[in-house]
Amino acid sequence: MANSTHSGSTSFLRNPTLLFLLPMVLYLILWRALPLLYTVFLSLNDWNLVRRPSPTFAGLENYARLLSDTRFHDSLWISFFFMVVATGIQTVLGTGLALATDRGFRGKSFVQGSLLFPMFLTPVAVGSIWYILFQPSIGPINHLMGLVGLPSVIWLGSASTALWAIIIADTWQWTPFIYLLVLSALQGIPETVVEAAQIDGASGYVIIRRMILPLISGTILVAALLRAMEAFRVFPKIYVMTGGGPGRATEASSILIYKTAFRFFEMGYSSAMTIIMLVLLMTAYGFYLRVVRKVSVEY
Amino acid sequence: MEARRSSVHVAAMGLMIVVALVWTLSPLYYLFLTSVKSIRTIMERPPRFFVWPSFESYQHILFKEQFYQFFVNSFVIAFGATLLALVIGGTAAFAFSHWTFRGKEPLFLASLVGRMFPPITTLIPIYLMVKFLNLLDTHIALILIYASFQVPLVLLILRDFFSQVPREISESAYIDGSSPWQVFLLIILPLAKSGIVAAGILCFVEAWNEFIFALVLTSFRAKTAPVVLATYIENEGALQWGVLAALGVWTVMPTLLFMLFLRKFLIKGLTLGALKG
Repeated sequence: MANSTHSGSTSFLRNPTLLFLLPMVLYLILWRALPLLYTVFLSLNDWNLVRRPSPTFAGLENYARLLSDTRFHDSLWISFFFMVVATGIQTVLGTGLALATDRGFRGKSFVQGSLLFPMFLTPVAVGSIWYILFQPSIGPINHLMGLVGLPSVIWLGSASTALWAIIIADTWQWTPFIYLLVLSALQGIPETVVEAAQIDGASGYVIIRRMILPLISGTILVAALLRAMEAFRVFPKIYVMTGGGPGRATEASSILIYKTAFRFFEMGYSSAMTIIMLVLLMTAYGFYLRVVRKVSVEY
Repeated sequence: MEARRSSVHVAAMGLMIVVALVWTLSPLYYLFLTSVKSIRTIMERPPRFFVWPSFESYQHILFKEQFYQFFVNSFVIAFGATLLALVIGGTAAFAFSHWTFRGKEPLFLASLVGRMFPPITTLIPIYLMVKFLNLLDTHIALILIYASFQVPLVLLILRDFFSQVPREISESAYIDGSSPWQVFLLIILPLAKSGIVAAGILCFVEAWNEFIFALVLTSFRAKTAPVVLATYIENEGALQWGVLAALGVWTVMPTLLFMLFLRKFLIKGLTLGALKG
């Protein structure tokens, strides 16, 4: 079926539907689809940009090498750990804050606006902020910890704390994301539902536990999954705060992919890592779509 | 009894909100504070939490090292990418919202896939492509790339806004002899103004914040603010804290301004983009 308004038009070029759609289709093919296919192609090639002028076909060699590359395995584990812990903390905090600030009180819009803004800030700048805050020499965190009797910690310089420092910075920036989505779900719950329960004598805790949480649990899950997929490929904050160090303590997969391509110039090998990461993310995305569908059926 | 419990409850809630506000706002305050401390007060132990502002660091940025050029770059690139994404995504959104054609739903979903796979998966090919085209370290390269990230987002948001315009309005315009372009430009666009602003702001913020492509594709002439900030830490991290903080303040400034004055649009665009994507 051609479009209803110009069904009489015979000329291919005068077809307005095509004219409106073509720029986008061509643009996305050129800048998104073809590069992705080329990544797949490169992952099957051996290509060190410095040593070879062009890629040499290597079959599945890169993937075989990845199987025994402990540095890559470690990086996947770091990304996974970061994803689970950061997303978990952010989901709990964001949901709690949304429940606390949803109901009417004076200054509500100021509070909600203030709590949201870190999520819009440049991730590199957020990394810089926390880079300063965690400095033993000039940062206030160790000073404040000292005031309550805690020992001084070299946050970004020791392997046991560096990843946690980045998780804290990430939590500062992205708790608002969960907060925003949960808040908008809460605002979709009709006032009368809650009022009816209050008249029946239900306490605030029971209302939240038995009525509100079941209503918003779908949104919480969707928000957490979206956040998790972003967290898995965290890059700017790590780059700025530790560069992957100390040692390799914070070398997440995205950092390793970057280094392999642009510090060691192993284009093929880096592409293979990218594809593994993509497959993992797409699996998560398939799961996400199933959840979304189920959630929207429930409503 | 009931009254006492609820007042305890209110106090606990109030405390939680205050703690959340302090947690959220104090890092930004400390960034600003560091940027207006003089070199001597920065190094003082214990750190001071209030100072009489000194603008040495900002003078350094503006007059000594001429960092402002990089902020101009960021602005030009983010603005160019936003415009391009709005044009390409907007025209397509019009087709999707106002016409029926074969393969419409599959094509729509396929267009959104572009946003599902993370940018880093195309970093190497795009680097090679840009190098091949001799566009390394140019504004236009980043504009083209950022626009390609934003087109699916624009499509998603604007299709929603365009479909809210009643069909009767555009149909009566066709009957009066208007062309599709006239309907799009003169009728739909003005009626969907708030959607365009929402999509545009979100594109701008995302392009302004982007890091990894700017890091790989620029070296000097087209360097953007986040890259300057990151390389500043890499190269002279512990030397000039004030300058670093001042660069940070400049980098977050545009998004901060959007947040203060256009929050409604920013949040609307974001919830639409996140929940439907």
